[in-house]
Amino acid sequence: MDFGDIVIYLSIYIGLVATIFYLLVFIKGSRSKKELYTDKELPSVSIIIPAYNEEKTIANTIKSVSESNYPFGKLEIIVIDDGSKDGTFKIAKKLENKNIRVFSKKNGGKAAAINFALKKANGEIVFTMDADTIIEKHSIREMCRYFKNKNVMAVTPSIVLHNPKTIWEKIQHLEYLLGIFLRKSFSTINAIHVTPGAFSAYRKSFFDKYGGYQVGNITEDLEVSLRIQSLGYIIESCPEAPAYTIGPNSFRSLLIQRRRWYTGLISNTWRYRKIFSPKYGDMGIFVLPVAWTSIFFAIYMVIKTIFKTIDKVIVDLNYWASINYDIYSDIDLSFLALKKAFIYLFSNPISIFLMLFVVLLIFYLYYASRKIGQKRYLGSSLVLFFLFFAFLFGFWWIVAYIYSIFNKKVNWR
Amino acid sequence: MKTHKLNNWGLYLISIILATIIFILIFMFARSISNFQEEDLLRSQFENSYKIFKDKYLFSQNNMVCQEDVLDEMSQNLFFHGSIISDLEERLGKNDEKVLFQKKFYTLVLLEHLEFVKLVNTKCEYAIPTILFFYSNSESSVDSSESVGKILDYISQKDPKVKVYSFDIDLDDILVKNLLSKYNIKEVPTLIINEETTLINPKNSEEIERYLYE
Repeated sequence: MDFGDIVIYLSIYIGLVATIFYLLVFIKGSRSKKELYTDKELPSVSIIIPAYNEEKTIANTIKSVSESNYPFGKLEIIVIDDGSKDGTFKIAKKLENKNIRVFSKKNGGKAAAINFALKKANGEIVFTMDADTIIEKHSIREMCRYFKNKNVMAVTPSIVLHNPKTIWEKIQHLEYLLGIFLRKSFSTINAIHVTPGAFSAYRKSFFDKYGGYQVGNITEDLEVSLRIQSLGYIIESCPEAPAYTIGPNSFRSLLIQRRRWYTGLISNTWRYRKIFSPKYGDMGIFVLPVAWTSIFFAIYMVIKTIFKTIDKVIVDLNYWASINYDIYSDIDLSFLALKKAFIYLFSNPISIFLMLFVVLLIFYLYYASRKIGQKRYLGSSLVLFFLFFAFLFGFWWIVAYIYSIFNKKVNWR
Repeated sequence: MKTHKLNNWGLYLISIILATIIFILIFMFARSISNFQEEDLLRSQFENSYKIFKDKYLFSQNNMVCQEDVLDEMSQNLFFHGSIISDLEERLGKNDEKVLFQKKFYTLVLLEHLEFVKLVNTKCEYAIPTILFFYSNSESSVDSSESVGKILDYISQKDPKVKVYSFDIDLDDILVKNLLSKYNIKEVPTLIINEETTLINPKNSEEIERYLYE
């Protein structure tokens, strides 16, 4: 067994401990009752939608919120056009009414736009929503219930990709579904450390007391969630509230997004590094350390895989040249060859662990798909996820670390 | 109110215990599959050996073994065992006692088979091509040996009539030492084609096939 094998088995063992722990925590959480508002008790709500060049989607986003079954008179929508160069402001302005207010300001970024709206918001609870996100009728209602506990400062929904079609969307689709289960599990131990920027709810008094979004922070939503946790408050998860967002549909756009996310995660986590302590409970001593350990394992595996693949490609190319590229004759599908492959698979512990994680993943996905009420795209997404996600995840992190170490500027687009 | 509590020590303990049990069980399962493969290999080797010895004896009594299917029946599975032994060697290490025993026994079985093929070629006037492949897993020779080994796998798969006999020159076995002396093997990888032509470190299949069907 060489160093590489030890790293793999160590990561598998830690992954196994974490998986079982999150499963047990999930079961524990499903048995406990949370304090929830009844329909009559639901507080007033402001939905803040900052928008920049979203003329294609802004109308649908506003429409999906307007169709919410939230108690009449308790919901207002505030749209901030952040200096769009297209028809976003014009389209949103057409939809303005008693409950929908539309503003325009000079371009200053998402954080500045939200802070602008926070000053105008009248709701006790504020939602921040991307201008290409749509929600179900009941999403706002179900999420607001969790604010009955006065220590809850934020609630996350089930973020799902809307109609994933390309390979890259389908890979993300599974990742998002996996997040639904994990977030529910984390909420039991108050370990949610990311509130999705696409759609999340916050108690407005938190911003009044501790300040709004940090302008200039490339992952301002992450900064808020870490701030909430560092101050000792609670972030809840409401898996019964789906919110559909549009994800990057190409390799390049996905890389740009993840580069921003992960460099933001590095800088914000460093800023709030004090939460890696027993004072922050299970989040501080287990969830965050395991998450960051898995990132380093992923980076190691990607680097190792790249070198092994280059080596194999060179060897294979030389081999094919030596047999005059008669690859067809080289394929052996005899019973003995298949039997040998089968035995090789099951005599290799890593293959068996992989199969075990696949089974667990299917269980998580079943839970998530039940919560959002749809099972479409699962089959193809599962295959693509397993083929590509682990490698992509490590690759994105390598890019993020390069940008962080060399202090390179990271843009939104 | 304290919102970050550390009151899940019981769950941590259960997780570690369960993870450890699952970890050990999976390793034991993988090991048992590996053991099954070893036993299966040993059983197959004994069966093949029996076939070879039986048919050699019958051959000496009558000429029935000139029927084509006799050699096929005897050769079935035999050459595949080599790849399984290589897998075991990779997994258990080349100094593992079981691997060494398998390799020595396999060497004997191969040599018996080779002798039988030579007899058949002579008495039945067949022209079954044979390749003796001498290789090494030492650091300096493993890459070139593997490359030639893969080319030979391709050749034997393309034409199942070709019989490839592989011998590890580092095996501490009197049979291998005799072969090295008989064929004057000085470096590896070396091929002895049809008992006539010596090729050292061939680079492609054409180089080998040129001499195979002469």
